[in-house]
Amino acid sequence: MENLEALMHGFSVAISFQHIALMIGGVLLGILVGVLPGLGAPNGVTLLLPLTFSMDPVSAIILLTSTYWGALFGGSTTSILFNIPGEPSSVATTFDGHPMARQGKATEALTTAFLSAGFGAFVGIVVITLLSGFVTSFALRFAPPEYFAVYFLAFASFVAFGGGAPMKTVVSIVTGFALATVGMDIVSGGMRLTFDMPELIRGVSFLVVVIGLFGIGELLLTMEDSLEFKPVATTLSPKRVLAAACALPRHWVALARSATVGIWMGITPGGPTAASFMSYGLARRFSRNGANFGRGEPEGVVSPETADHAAGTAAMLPMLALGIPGSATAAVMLGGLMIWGLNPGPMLFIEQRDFVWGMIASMYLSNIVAVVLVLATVPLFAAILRLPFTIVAPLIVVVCTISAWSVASAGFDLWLMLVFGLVGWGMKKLDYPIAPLVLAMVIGDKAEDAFRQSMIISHGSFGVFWSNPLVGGIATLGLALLLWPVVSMVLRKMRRAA
Amino acid sequence: MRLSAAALGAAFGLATAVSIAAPAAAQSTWRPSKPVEFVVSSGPGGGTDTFARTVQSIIAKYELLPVSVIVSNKGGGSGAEGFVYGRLAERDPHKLIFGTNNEWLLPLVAKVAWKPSDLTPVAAMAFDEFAIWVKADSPYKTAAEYVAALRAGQPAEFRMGGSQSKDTDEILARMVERAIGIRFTYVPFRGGAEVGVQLAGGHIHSNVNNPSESIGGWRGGQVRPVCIFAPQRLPATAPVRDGVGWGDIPTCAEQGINITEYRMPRTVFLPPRVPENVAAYYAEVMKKVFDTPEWKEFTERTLQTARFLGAEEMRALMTKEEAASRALFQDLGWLVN
Amino acid sequence: MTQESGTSQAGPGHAGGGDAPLLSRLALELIGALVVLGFGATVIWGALEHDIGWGDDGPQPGTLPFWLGVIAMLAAVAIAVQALRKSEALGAQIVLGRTAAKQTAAFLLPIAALVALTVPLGLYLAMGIYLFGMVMWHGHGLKAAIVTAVAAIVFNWVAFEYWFLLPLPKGPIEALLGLG
Repeated sequence: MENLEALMHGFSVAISFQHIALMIGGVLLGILVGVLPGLGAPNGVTLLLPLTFSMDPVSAIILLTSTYWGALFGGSTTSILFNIPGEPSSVATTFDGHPMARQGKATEALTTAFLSAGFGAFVGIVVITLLSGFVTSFALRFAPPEYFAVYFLAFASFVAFGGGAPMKTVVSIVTGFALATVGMDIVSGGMRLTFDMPELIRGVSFLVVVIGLFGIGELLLTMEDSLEFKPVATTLSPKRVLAAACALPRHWVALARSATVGIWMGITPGGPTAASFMSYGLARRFSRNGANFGRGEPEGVVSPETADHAAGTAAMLPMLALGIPGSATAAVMLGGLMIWGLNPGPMLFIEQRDFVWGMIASMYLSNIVAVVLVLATVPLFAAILRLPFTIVAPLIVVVCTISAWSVASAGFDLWLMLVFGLVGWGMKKLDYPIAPLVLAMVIGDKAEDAFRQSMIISHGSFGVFWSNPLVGGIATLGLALLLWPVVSMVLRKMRRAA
Repeated sequence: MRLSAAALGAAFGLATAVSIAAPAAAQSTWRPSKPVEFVVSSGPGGGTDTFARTVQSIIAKYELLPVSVIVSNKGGGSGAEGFVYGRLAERDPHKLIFGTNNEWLLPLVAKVAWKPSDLTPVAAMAFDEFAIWVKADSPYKTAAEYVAALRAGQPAEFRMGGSQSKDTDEILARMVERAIGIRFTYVPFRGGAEVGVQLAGGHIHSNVNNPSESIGGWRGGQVRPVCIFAPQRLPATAPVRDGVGWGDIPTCAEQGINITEYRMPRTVFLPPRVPENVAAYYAEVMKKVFDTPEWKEFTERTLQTARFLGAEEMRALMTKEEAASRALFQDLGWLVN
Repeated sequence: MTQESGTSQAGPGHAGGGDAPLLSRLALELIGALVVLGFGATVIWGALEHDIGWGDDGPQPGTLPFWLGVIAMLAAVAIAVQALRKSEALGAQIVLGRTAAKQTAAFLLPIAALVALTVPLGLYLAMGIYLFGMVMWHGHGLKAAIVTAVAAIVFNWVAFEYWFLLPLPKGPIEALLGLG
């Protein structure tokens, strides 16, 4: 195995006192920015970028990637404890993580989240290590129709027009897509839905919407009920951590499925956020415990977390080998690469062995560092939760406000946050599902671009989505998943008839 | 869009005149008193981002500013976000806006909240080249062969990719169409890297990436340049792939595509209505950055032409490009303002 | 799509046991439908600035927003009709009582004040006033209020101005102190 040899070489580069210190520092800073919503992994990495100008590229990339892993872990903490996703990719973790915390199982939720995240990252790195060449040539096969099919598949696997109020699901999806179209349209070069307001030129920030819907919306609901904070008992006893860790292998099906989804979305690249939603949707539909999803089902934490981290790590590969960033954070690192004087491309793996394999080896190590450190931060949050809620709630409001500001340094975004806080409150009151809105916002503009690019290429023919086995396969799978409720109903009827 | 050598020459003449005439007293009185914000009108990792951060790293290394530098990316709306932010920061001497010629081209094709003349020009520090790229194993050895194939086949089935719409890439694509008298299909993508990968995967037939955007792909044997939009060949470099270096790539005019020059300036602006001595101060800082070996190394590595334009030459360039582009956009039906 | 509805319905006290009714489910449903209707109309209005057709090169810039707006408006009408059909049951269901509404407003309005004050006063001062006021108002005493406000300002100042180099908005006070 040529790659394993290279990996061993990488370890010899990565293991040094200085590099381990950088990993610890990076992970700690990452956890901090990850915990603060709005101040996400891309910000953390951007902040460190000037520091890396005077470093050698290996140290620099180790620092930046470690920050990224730290932020991914930190983002889940606030999702679970406060229902405020610290990172866009941890939105799906709130669905079951927060209910678990409310039931007094915060320790279990956090442990499950961190360990499955660690597992997802590990699988992602193994894939990078062993299959780098194959993955790169696979990624090259993706043209706009394939991209569209990937987004369609992610969407179809999450949204099912099953029970509940279908009209309200429709409203939620449509709203998300409409918000995603605001701003510059790259296919026509025009401004859409900006109503000549300069604040809307950059589009409606996904983060501001999420902070409003989840953060402020949740607080408003809690305020009305009573002035008590729901998550109790957040002590971190080693016994409960261990018990939760031992329970993890029971979810091996979910772990395997989510890791696969994550790697797929990291490479194609749909990105970690879409990966976590897709994984959650698939788990809800195919898990034996599907009915418990949304009420504190551990598998509902395992699935998005595993996929999120698998996608985050797998996205490093297209970044290095092709120069296409699989996530916003990868885009920042790509900028770093250019400034350090490295050109991403297939030759990077051959000409810069120290850099590439040192980084891959460091990914194994820093993820272990991250799991340990992030578990150690849990008592800190437990202490915050012991403060009276009437003090914690205003503090959360301040954190939300700072976060919304730091997205684009705009006062307009604060009002947007407030409006979406009210919208979130109303949606929960009236049982409008929020998740489809969030997912539609994440993939909406990319999916529309890919669709329109496909139409330009095919001169308006839909045949392009079935023009080769790859795109046809993904598109058909997406359709099948979208129609799954209907299909399963028909199957059930047939079985009954037989 | 074409920067004729004459115009540049005239601009250079002006530059020397201005630098002699500039009162020395006004330049020395002003100093920044708090952190300076570098507003980057592109997302992280883009060409403008690399430009701004390289300037930042050189300023840090030589301590060219007495205060710290904060870089913020405002790349929404093809950079419109950054320019609007700059325009709204009227009179603020602690904000520099980094961009390209989109500062004066974007207001022509999109409804945006600034006019090209709003911001205060400081300097242009480099000019990025453009090349026509094809897939490495493409049957077309040269640009001339590619154009011949376009003429012989169905032009609509030939796809040229580019970054964004009605932006530098599409403008160049449309200029190529006019130069050869054939319409092909232009497909807009999000950024240069994505366009490069689409070409490497064979999903488009050509693109007009900047050298730095696709050099990794060339070295890796995925894509190769067939001609460069410059008045003469680039200076010879070490071979990049198969014994071919940048100096061996013919100009597009040599290959029968009559566009002698097409370059994208890397520009620095201040918000509107800042005092003249502030603009002069930053122009001086940028000139010092420009004169470092690091800047030379950066422009050489990214195949950009290092050329410094002060405020007056920039204004001349902007007026000239705006007029030329207005005529072209009118023809294409893109004008909104 | 049940993960959120599960939690919100499970929450006790929404029906407002003992709380004087203010807003019935029916009223809120109709308000919601109206908001969606307005949103859809706005989106359509914005889309009409562009071509909304379907050309040789596929959908035009206005096509997607236009149809999204149309679908939103249709869905809003359907939701309103569904609500009116069950008007008796929904009318009896109380989603917001007077006490609950007061509590919510008492929480929401200070946030609005915080947002409104952020730009003129600067975020640091605004958050200090907000935190001080909230902690005092909930009866934790002067000491707790001062500690909370000052701790938040100092921590955020150090974190954002120094560590993150991500300056938050500042106002006249900082300018007076020479910190802005």
